[in-house]
Amino acid sequence: MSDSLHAVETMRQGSRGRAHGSAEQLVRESGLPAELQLVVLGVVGRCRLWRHERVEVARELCGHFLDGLESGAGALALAEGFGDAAVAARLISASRKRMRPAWWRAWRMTLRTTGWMFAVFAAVYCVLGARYFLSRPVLRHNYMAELNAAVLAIPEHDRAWPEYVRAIREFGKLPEYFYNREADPTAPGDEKWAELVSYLKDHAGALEVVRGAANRRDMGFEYRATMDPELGRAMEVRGDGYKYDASAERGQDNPVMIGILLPYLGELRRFDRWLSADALLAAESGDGARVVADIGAELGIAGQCLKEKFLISQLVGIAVGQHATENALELFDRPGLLDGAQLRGLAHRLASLGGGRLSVDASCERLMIDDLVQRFFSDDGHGDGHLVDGAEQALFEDFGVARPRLYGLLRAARPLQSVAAPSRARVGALVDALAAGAARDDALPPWEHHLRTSDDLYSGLMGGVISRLSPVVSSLFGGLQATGRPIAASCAARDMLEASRWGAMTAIAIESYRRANGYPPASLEVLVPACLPSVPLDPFDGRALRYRPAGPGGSPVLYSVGVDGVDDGGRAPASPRGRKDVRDLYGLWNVFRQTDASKLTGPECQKMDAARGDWILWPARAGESR
Amino acid sequence: MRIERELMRGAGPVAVLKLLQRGEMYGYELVEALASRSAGVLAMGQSTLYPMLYNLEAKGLIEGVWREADSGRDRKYYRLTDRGRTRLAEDTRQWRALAIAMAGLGVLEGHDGPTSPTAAVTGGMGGRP
Repeated sequence: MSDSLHAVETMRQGSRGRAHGSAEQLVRESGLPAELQLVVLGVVGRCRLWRHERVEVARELCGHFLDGLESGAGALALAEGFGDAAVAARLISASRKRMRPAWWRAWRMTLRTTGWMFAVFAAVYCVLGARYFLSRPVLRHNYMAELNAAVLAIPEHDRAWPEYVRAIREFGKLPEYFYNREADPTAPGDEKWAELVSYLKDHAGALEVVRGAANRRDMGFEYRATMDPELGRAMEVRGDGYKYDASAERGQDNPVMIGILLPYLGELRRFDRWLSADALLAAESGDGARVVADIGAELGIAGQCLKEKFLISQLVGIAVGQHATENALELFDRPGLLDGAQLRGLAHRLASLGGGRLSVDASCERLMIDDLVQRFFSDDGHGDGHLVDGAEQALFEDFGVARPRLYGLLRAARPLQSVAAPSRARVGALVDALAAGAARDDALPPWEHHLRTSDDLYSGLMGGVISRLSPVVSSLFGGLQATGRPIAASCAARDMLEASRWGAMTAIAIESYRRANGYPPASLEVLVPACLPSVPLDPFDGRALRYRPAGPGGSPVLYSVGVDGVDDGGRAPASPRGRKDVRDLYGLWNVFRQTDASKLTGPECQKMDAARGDWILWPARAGESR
Repeated sequence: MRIERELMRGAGPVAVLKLLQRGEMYGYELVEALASRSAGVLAMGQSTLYPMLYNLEAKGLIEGVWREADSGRDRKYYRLTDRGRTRLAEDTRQWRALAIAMAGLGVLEGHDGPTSPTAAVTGGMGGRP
């Protein structure tokens, strides 16, 4: 009891206006019996509190025990009656923290919330990461092999490609200007024209091989993601330092479709230019048969390209066909050049281009997308799946595409992207919608060109989904996206080829009628059905193509109303630039259709004014189409 | 008799508020009063009392002030705040309703009427000593 009284007195003296440095110091100086000091130290020692809070807790607990001692309780009884020091420390810590300032509690809440959010994020990321990195795509299709199965089924005598390769070998070295990276000349008067003429004269046999190849039914090119071996070896003879790397013929079980190489396109464009030049030379020398053979070969090349279901092949086919058609329009009516049989032969070749109506068909581009989908998505067997870490690394290596900076971070974020990315089923639905839209656009007549909208679906699919699959895909598809509205542009190019082709056939029919009757027809209707199956329609307004019978001392004119949609009676725009723009189905036409011309100013207005007039299909020189 | 922790968690704060309704008290005094005036039923270890006091203080129901006691030693006294009085009134109503309901169910032995259990609960704590 005397110890207790001593403790009380010590505490009384110590607590008066005395600042204690620490809770432990306060307890030691309290004068409490050792067992009670242990209790207080056991509590405050475990409290995770600020220094002054621990001092206050210690002060209150010491006071508590002193009150107990003052009331006559024994130190041992007080210590036993206190309870579990660890529990007390935990409860006191929690309750004292609730008394802290609002800013501290807000900060702790923020930290805790952030911590929880991070923990939840980490847990979700682990699940998504496992789903993304551990899942593997299932390659159910080998699209290139499926395409090649159809190619290899073509009889050898119908395959043009081996003959084209033979022609490349026979041509051997190219004209000298080629090695100086200069373009082929296209008409007499162009620089290097004489050199090309000489070259073609020296390689007449090779050009004949090209004509033979162009007359074959199919291209028969076997698709590869590497250089065509035959072409590679043939190109060595050009002597420009190119060396075919046979080791590139490594076996790829299931190559990526977007890696497909179409090297024949460049070769065929060159053959088209040489055939066109040769047709001009033949016309100069009065060799009608060779003119028809050259233009027919150009049309054959165009037809072979149009059969390929790659948009790029078809665009080349359209360009070659346009070239051939313009050649036909320019040359067929040269006095004394073509006899009746040759005229009919030329008309037949024009009519049979593409098997009749020309279609824009991008089904191989669809296969490219389908192939990417099967490589970047899992497959649940029911047409659905999610983004997985599939072929990306292999694509980087195969295509030599440099990984973007911070690619590691980008890749680490891919599991999260896999949640935001559309599912495989959704992508499939978008692809189906695009295919259906492209088919609708293809079927629209040219005068409803403005209703073609599938490029919006294309942009949404390519920009919003496909190019985001991976930086490597974005890099590889960047060029295709840069073309703007590829489907509408392809349809427009096809429409212009159709207009030119039907214009040429109609012009040949007019000439044939004139030769048979001694005078040109009074109208196009009289040509049907003997010389034409029907009167062609004007691509700009859907009405019959315009025909102005020959006036006194003049010649008949076959024309379209052109981009401004106004029939000017067969009057071409005054300027060469205007005569070119008058055929612009894709650009200026929409301006004419949708804009109040009176509100336009500046260059666009001048361009419109220059394009006012008709598109003269024939006689070619009246419209100066070349 | 020891009260289950969950029951004590509900009853303890009300009991402390009720004790402080009559005037300020310090910790040891509260421990003693709880034990003696509830016949030991609401006796709680100091390890429970002080966290409870801090919680009530954090909620603004009571406030503690350090003041020099008669003994000359500093001591922390607790007193009821206005908010504490409001809470006590509300808690009292709820405890009365609970007692009546429990009595109606016969849980409170020897009390069948609606008023006697209330007296049983409040009688020991409500009157002044």
